Amino acid sequence: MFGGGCATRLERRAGPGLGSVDRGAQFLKLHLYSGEAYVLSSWKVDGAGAVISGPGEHWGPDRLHGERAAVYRVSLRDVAMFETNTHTRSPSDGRMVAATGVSLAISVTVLLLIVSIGGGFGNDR
Amino acid sequence: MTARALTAAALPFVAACLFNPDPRSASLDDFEQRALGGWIAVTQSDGSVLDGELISIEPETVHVLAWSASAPAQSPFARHPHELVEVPRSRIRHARLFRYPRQSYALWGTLGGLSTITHLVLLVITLPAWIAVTVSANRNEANAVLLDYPEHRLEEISIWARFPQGMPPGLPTSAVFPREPPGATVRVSPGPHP
Repeated sequence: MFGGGCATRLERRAGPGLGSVDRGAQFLKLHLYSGEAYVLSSWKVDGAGAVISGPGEHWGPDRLHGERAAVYRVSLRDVAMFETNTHTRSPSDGRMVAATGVSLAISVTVLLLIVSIGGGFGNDR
Repeated sequence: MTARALTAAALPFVAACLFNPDPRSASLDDFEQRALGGWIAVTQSDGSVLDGELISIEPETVHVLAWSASAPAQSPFARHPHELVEVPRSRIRHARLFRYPRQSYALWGTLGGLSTITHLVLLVITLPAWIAVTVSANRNEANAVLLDYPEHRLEEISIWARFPQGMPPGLPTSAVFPREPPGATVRVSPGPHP
């Protein structure tokens, strides 16, 4: 019921080499020296280590319109920085879950009390 | 009592709507998949505050795509990207970066608060408890998205810029704007006032 209210945090890792990013991230962002950016949903580096390729979206420096393509091939020489973002759950979720549990327990207890009291009156008659 | 309880239960939701200075309606996915810069508010040495999208952090300067209010004829709350401002680092007294849109427990807290109606008289305890927990969780989330300078180094903040690698050399100023405004220019923030 409250699942949509959970908070997500974004952990960003960025650096000039592929070694500085989180390889398990859902997307890999390539920042080019030109100001353009590619966001790849999966990627592979060719054997010679000169080109990175994969499906994704290309953004101009204005970041206004993205163009999707099944495969982009980007020369690693053009990439100034690699970036990944990882979604993590907020630690506050635990407190909210605990509050919900206690609140529900009280609601159920009160409901049971009302039912039992109501049942007691019914038996008296 | 019920009206009061409803009002109180709605407070976390109202509180969550406040204090979000970023006028762009960008989602968390936009920051992950679109390479937008975070929203930064720069307090300069003369006390003036400049806010807008963080474009890049250079060795000597910080580029901010400043947003300004629309013409009075339009909505007074509407804002749009106005000019690219180059602020010398030496002129920055304080800066606060909102890395991405903060998440909120407002809906969860509001529903939880409303559910205390079923607690009958215990509501006098459980409703304030819900409000306290929700406000605390929202405050934690609000703080989690912030990066402050000088507490954090500008180099640390720079990965949240639109161009974390620095301003692309030779890029026309107009290319930075989401839509090309008339007479787009770069303004260099003046030096400290005497």
